[in-house]
Amino acid sequence: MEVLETNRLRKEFGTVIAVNDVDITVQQGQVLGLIGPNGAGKTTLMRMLATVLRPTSGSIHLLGYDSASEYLKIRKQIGYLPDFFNLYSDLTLRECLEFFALAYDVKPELIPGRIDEALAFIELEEKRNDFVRHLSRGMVQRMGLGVLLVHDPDVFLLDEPASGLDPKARIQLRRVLKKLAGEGKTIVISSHILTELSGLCSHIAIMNKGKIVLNGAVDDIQQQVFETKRVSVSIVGNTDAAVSEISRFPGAKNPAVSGNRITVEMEADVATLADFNSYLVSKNIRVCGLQEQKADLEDLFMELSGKDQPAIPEEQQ
Amino acid sequence: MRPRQFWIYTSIYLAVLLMIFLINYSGYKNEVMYKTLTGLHKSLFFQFLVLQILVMWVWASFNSSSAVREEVTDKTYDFFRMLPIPARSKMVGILVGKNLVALLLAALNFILLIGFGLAGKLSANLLAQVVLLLISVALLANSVALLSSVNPKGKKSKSGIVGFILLAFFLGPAIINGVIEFAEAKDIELVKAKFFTLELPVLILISLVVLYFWCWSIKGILRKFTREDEPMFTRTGAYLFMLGYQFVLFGLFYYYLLHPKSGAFTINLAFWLTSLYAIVSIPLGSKRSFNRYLEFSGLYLSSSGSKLRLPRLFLYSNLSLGLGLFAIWAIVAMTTTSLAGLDFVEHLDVIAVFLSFYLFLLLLLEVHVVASPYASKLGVLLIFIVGVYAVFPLIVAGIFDIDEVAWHSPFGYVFYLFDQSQRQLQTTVRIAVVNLLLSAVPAAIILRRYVDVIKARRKM
Repeated sequence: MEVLETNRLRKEFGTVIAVNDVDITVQQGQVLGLIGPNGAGKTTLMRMLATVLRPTSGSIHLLGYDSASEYLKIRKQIGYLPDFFNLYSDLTLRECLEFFALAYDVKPELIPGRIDEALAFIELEEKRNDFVRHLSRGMVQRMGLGVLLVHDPDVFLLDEPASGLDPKARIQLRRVLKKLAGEGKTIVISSHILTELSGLCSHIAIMNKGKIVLNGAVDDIQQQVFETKRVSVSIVGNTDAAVSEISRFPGAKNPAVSGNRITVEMEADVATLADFNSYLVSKNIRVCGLQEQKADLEDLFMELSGKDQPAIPEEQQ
Repeated sequence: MRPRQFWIYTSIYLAVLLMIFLINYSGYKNEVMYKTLTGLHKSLFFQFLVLQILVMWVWASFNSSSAVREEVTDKTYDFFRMLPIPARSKMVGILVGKNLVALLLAALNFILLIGFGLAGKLSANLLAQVVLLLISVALLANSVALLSSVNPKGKKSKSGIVGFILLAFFLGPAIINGVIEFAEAKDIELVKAKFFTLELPVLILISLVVLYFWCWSIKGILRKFTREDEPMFTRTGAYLFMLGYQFVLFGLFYYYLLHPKSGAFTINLAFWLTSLYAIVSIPLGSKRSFNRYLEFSGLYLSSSGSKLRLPRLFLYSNLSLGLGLFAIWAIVAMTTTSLAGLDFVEHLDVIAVFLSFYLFLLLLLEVHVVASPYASKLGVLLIFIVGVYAVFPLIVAGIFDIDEVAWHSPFGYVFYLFDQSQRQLQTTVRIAVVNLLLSAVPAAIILRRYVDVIKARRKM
């Protein structure tokens, strides 16, 4: 089922085209990663999807509602986490969640349970009676997710949720996001930190200069971008000799050495890998590891941006 | 609000009460200030009236004026505006939430105010009128303050309590003075004012006029809370407000226009100048941004399929609204001139000069709309130009002692009008021509930007 669809969505700020005729669709349960450098137009796109910003032209249909006329209905069913936000610092976590639950019309008898669930989900149960102002930045970021969870939205729009967090807080947030994705929620998440999205997204949309330059399932895009797969061989002994032998294996291309590991491009189906292993052994190369190397989002983005190096416009709000 | 905060404010209030009671009681006991108990009670009524004004008009308005701005600076505004509750709930919630203490103290103060008023043998009629005035002005002051606060790009506000103390410091003496005048006026509750042919107690009439504007401010807040990036008035709303404003003002001036004690010309001019306020302020409250022009031109092309031309964009622009408002003003102005028994043909030159002043200011506003996306600090320059336009001729006239130069300032022209002996058609023409020449530059900038919008859209 289609949850989100944009049609030639465009946002201009005076002379700058921040989002340029964007068409995207998101199915229920998909986790769409919106990737792009700073100033690519991700935040502007997210704000339009969240009905906070009105498009210059084009349309958005979210959960079957038209964002231009039925934005209140949309707001009730989505959870939008802005890129820079704070929560009411004079409230305790419990009070804060209660406030948002009431504002989102959650039935009063359900509220205590929802608060408990949300706090458990974001791993802040022990802080329930602390004031929001006493939370660290990472905790506030997770609490932001808690605020969304308390009214159980159908779609989550998360704009750079990990920006400004230290590594530990980032790992904690990632764990929470993975749980969310595991629950089958539809999520659109933007980031310019690609490792943040690796392993989380089922689909990605790469954005640059206000346009979606590539959009689809992660596996399909990887296949599309990396025509040949990469195989990583870890060896014991002289890597130079090994490289020259590897180069002679039929179909092997561009071997690259990093420490005791050699990466080589080739067809990487199971039979070829078995043949390659036998070949290395026959050449007296002492193999201690052999595996197909999956390209991550960072490789993917670098590969794509290498093809079309962008000049990034300054994004305006 | 936390109980601790509540008790802090309540303690301050109780301390002020104690101080008032102690000072007044000692003044009564020693017969220094009051000879009778009724005199003491009457005086306490007026003292609590001052306190009530400070709480309801000054303090509460100050809180309301920072309400949304604080949400913006605290970065909670996105969550606030995403709340799927009706705009009226947001408005009531934020007004009550920000002013909870002020409201509680005002409620307590009302009891004391009315109690001392009755004990001071003030008439129930006066008390009712005072309460109505207090509430109506508080409603308007708070809603206008909240409206001014609805600015998603709001800058960090100053500390609330410091601002309140400063405001109270500067407004306090004026309020106290006003209340003293009020206290000394006899039977003010019986003083009547006219609205067209109706006769109403003056305090009630003031309250009703205030409530009329309060309704519009509420409408503006609801609109701002529904669609944050839209102007306060729709196009229709702007015209309706203009008509309503002219009607109210006309009603207040009607009797005096028919029976001009201080000269028909002066009272008519007083009406003109008072009613001009609307055509200056409404375009600011209903200003369409350049982004709205882009949206409009895109939608127009995609829906109508026809070519977007300059007249269509002009009709959509802020200029057409401004000129439409001026047309309404001119019609009403000519009506009042006839009503005052003056020949309106003789006043057409004044209307033409007002139009030339207004046109220049309107064009500057439109330059800001169409050119600020290219120059972020343009607003500062334009404000400076307006300042120079209004003040510079007065300074030059003062230095070189040439009165005629001063008339090129809008303020100078008003002084010129009041001195009828100097009125000449030649002067009028000269002022209008200079204004039109000055208007040529902003008009050229605007025209170029309109053409750019149309060209850009045709390429899409």
